[in-house]
Amino acid sequence: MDNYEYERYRQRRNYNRRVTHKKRTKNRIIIVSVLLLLLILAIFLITSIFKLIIGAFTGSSSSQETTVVETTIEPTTAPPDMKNAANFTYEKPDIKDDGKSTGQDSGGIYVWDKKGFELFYGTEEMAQRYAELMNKAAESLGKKITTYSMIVPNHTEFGLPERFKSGDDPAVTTLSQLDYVKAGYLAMSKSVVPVNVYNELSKHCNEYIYFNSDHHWTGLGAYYAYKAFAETADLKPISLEDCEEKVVEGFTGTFNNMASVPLATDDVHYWQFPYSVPDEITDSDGNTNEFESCYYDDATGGDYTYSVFLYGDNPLEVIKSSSKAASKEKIAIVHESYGNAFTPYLTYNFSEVYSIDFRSWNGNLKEFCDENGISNVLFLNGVMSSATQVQLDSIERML
Amino acid sequence: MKRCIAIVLAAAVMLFAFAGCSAKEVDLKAVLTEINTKCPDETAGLTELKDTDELYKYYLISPSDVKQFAAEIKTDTSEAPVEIVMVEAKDKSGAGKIKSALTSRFNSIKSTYSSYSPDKLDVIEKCSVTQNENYVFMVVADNYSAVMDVINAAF
Repeated sequence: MDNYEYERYRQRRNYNRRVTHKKRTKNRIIIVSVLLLLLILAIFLITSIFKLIIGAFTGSSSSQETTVVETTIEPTTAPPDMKNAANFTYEKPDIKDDGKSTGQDSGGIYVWDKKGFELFYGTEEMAQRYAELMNKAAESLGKKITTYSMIVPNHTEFGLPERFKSGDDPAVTTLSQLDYVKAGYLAMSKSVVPVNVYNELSKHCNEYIYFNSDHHWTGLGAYYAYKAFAETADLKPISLEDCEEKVVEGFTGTFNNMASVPLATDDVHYWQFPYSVPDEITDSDGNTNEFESCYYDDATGGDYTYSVFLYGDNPLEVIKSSSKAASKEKIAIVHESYGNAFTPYLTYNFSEVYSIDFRSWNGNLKEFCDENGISNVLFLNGVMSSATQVQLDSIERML
Repeated sequence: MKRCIAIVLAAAVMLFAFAGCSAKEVDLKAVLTEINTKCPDETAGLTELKDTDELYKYYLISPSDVKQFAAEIKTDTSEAPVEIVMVEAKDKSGAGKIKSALTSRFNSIKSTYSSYSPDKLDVIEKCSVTQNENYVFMVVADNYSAVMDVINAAF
């Protein structure tokens, strides 16, 4: 072999060695990488299995961190403010019903089961109008006087079964009083304290809380509303068991003048208090007389027996209470005739109760309250009255 | 042929004549003025409702049902109610709704004011809601018959 061929052989031999070396290096890298990946996978699997086994013994999730987590204790939420209408709940009444008897329209009154029912036509727009008036009243009275507002549904809401109001009888075209009351209360400003009497009346709907032959509620119905007011005002209500129950039989109410079908006759129950309640009454002619009690004990059966309460409708009555539970605070209740049965109960909690019938009283309410040291005003309206513009005009004239 | 055409034309003329009779137009504002003139004791101190918005506010009568109206009411609730409301509806259906609305108000007055004094009950019992074609009237007044005489004379 000469030098040239040897040199070529040597170059070829070196080249082959380099190629082979590169291939070996590459293969080694691949093998090592794969082995590393398999090692990592093995470690991961072993760790996971280990954690699962530990989790099964301790009951904790295998995905939880084992590091300590700081927890904070949430502050307890305050109970809902029950003077805020947004927190009001309403329980529909479960009215006793045979499910088959029918009623009829008679003289503008719906009669069922020998009871008369006034149908209601107040809209939510009218409820808002009423609320605006209450807001105006509260603003006029100022912050030093607590202004309450109570809307009282009538017998149709708590005494006429739902099947009639849902379309059983086309003659019953009444609108929802519950919707009306809700809309009214929700539209009142924070300056007005709404009084939700709905649930108390609903609970007792099958008791004698409304008259059969008259558009008013009974003394018992008014008592349940008083309990609701007491709860709203953080007062303890009087118990009827501490009072002496009296009855005047044979009340033939206003519906007898309208309906031409027979209605059940009523009895007027009222409760004499275990303390004195002398009543100074100013009548429509401006004459003032004093009476021993705010109850007209000499009332007899007939058309006007409802006048047992406060001697009927009078512009102004001032009842002074000797109740030991009464605070020195005074209250004015601005009302129409629905307030007559309600007002006497306030004498348990207030030393002086001013009963103002807005339909016949001519005065400025703010000035009157300031002159007499009155720090609480309750506007009490039956639902029909609250939806009657002429009556709202009368209230507005007092402001 | 000519005879037939003449008979048909005559019948058409008679038909239009009768239609004209039943659809008498009465200006209710003028009637109210007449009532104020002839029954001053009844209408003293009453407030006239200005527009259909007020009619809706007091009686829930939809403005869309009203062709014309005239109404005066006593807004002072310390005295016996006096409300004279006269409405002409746009059509029969509207008249029905208006009568229903006024009847509701009338029933409400009756139940509220009849409960305490016999004289108020007597007043209300003589009053009523009446209808003449598309005209509906509610009159609550001490001298109901005097007011209705003026209204009836306009028709």
